[in-house]
Amino acid sequence: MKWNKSMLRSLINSLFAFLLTLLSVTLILCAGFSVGLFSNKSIIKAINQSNYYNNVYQELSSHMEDVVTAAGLPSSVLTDVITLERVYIGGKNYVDSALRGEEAVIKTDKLQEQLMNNINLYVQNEDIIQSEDLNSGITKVISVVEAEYKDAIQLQFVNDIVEYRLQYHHLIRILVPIVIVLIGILCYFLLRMQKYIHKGVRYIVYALMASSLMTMIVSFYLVITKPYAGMNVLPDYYKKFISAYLHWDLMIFIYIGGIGLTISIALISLISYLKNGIKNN
Amino acid sequence: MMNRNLRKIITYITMILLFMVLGAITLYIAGKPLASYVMAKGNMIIVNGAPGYPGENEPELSKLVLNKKSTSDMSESQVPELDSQYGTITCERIALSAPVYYGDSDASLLKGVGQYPNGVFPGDGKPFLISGHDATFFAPLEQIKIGDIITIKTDFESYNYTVTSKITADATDTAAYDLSQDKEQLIMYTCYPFGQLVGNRSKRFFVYCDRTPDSAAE
Repeated sequence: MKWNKSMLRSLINSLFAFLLTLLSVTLILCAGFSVGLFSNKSIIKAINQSNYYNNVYQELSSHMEDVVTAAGLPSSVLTDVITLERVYIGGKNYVDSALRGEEAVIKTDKLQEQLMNNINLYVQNEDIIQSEDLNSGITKVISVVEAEYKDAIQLQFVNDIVEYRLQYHHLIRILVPIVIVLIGILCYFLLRMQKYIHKGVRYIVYALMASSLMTMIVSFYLVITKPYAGMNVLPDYYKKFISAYLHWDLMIFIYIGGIGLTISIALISLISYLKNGIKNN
Repeated sequence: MMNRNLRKIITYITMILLFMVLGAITLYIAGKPLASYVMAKGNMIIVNGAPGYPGENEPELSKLVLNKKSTSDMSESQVPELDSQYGTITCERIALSAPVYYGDSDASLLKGVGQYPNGVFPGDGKPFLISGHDATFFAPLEQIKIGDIITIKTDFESYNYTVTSKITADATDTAAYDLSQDKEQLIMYTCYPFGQLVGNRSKRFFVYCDRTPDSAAE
């Protein structure tokens, strides 16, 4: 009978510890998404790591050349129109505004002015006769270049992430307190149900280690196999940015798992300390 | 003492492994619908967030070319250079609009859709293949319906085609198209499933279009 009682207690403890594992994983996921996927720092870090604006500049310059060439103009009309500085500042302002949840305004007046001056200079130098068709063609080229510039600078991905982040924040405002309260209740019962407190701590360690290792192993697996590297998205620099972003998010989960493991090890030391205390008494 | 410690270590490992396995199974079963939803949303955000460069496809740009090159000796029989744009393909209903390149190299498919360079062009009365990326220029093909009108516009003429059928086939299935037919057929294809970022990409989505009689008479 006594053996059965002890077995039942172990079973209940194990069940509580298992529930604690699931809740810990939920909490780790919430923390990981907040610190990684939905944080401004992650997006900015991925932009910098993937050399995003430099690549945008190169790709944009190449496209602009195609645009002006298709219009029968030399690529020299693009001089000082698309510069790395302009792309970088324009892009940075856009991302900063998007991350603040504000509508980003991309200024193109200087770009238009410069392009107009360059084309007019070319028309004058080449003695091209001014005509209505030519003027409307020039206006069209400028509007296409402006549209291309705006398209390249915009990073719709950030706007979408910010939009989903709002929904996510609404969710975690409810979910996280519930999970924390449930974790507290389970820990309380695990500690109270034992004759010696260190036995309850042991169950907490099982749960914390299992959840931390689970998160770390899955994240490690994804970091090593890199399934995101085979994504079918274009242009290439955008793919690099997304890869850097997802890679960093997975690393966040590994770090959080590491923190969980460290706490587990600290709790194991606490168990030894508590046991020694009992022995001494 | 040694045995007791060993037993404790084994208990730790067993319990942790047990919780991990059971936890993984529980989370997999319970979290699968949510994970699928999050994955689908994530894919959508990534694909929709990709920057595009639609300007090259602007037919109005050729106005300046016409002004400067009025003495151009280009003729209808001229074969475009490999990887050069020779027209645009559009389908108004599904908002498909892409530059058509002669050649289906990676470089061409980055800028638009690419025609398999077999020397056949719209109006030649023979089948020709056009491919494009499912995440970019050919993404609208997912919405294509039988009866939709596809227009290919070159510097010389406009050609209309009507969608007659669509199928999914293996990428290696050469029976999915017949380039030796004696009728004009536009065959468009792209990777399938649409918008799938990772995983098996060995399927292709084919759309077959016959020349619309009205446009043939143009």
